[in-house]
Amino acid sequence: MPLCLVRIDDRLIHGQVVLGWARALKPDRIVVANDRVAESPWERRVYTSSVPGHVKVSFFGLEETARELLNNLFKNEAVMMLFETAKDVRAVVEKGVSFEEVNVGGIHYRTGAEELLPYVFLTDDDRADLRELVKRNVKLSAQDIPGNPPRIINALVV
Amino acid sequence: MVNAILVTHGDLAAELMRTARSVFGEYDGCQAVNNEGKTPQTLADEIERLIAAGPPGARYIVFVDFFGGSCCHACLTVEQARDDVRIVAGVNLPMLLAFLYKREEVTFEQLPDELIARGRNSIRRVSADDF
Repeated sequence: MPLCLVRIDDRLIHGQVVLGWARALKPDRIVVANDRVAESPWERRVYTSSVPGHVKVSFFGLEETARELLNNLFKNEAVMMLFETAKDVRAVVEKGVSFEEVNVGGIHYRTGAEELLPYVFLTDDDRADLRELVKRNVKLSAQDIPGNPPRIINALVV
Repeated sequence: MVNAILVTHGDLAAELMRTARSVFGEYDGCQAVNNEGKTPQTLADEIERLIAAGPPGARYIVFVDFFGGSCCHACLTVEQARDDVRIVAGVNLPMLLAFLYKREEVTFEQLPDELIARGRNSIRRVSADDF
């Protein structure tokens, strides 16, 4: 599966993704990798409704996401993959998947989180999960929209 | 009484409310929510808190700025669990003004369609040749 973007964004599919990233990268398919959404027909319909018709949308639980990636399914499609949390990316990576680069696009404020960037607030747990990715040589590129410059944050989470 | 909560990207909601005052005059029962720095869950919790703190029995039109955005998703989570909330996406100034003028004139059930009609009616190509 050629991945044109692997993104952490707690909003999953929303304006920045559809109007910003999908316009710039023209994926054939958006994959939402999330256990809760994969099990919720209602959430799946809500998210699908905001994607233009020519882009396919799939919803996988994390287990299935890892399996699809390891089996190289969708190898003929450009895929944009969205995760809700760093923890979910870590879970997939720990199942043997490797990502070269992960876009950190939105981890917003929750109790106990500290601001790193206006759209990145990290708890100790988030940091631990991101550190685990850094340990596996994943480049963490913070960038909300394609028009803004990316910022490599590997050194800021260790 | 029908109240409104405007949930938008950035300060758009607060600015729409402020600007509406310059046309309508003072009003109450409307609140602005800015999505910046908030997760969909934080946003949904904030809307729930505003409703809980509002007058008992009030019903709500929740305006969002764009269909399919994160504000819209957060509001859907709130609406799904309640029968006193209707969501209208694509809020613009004429729509908000129509809400202020019409909220006591038409029923809660009719209100969303009225507002959508007013909002749509204000979106058109305009040329001096038309006049």
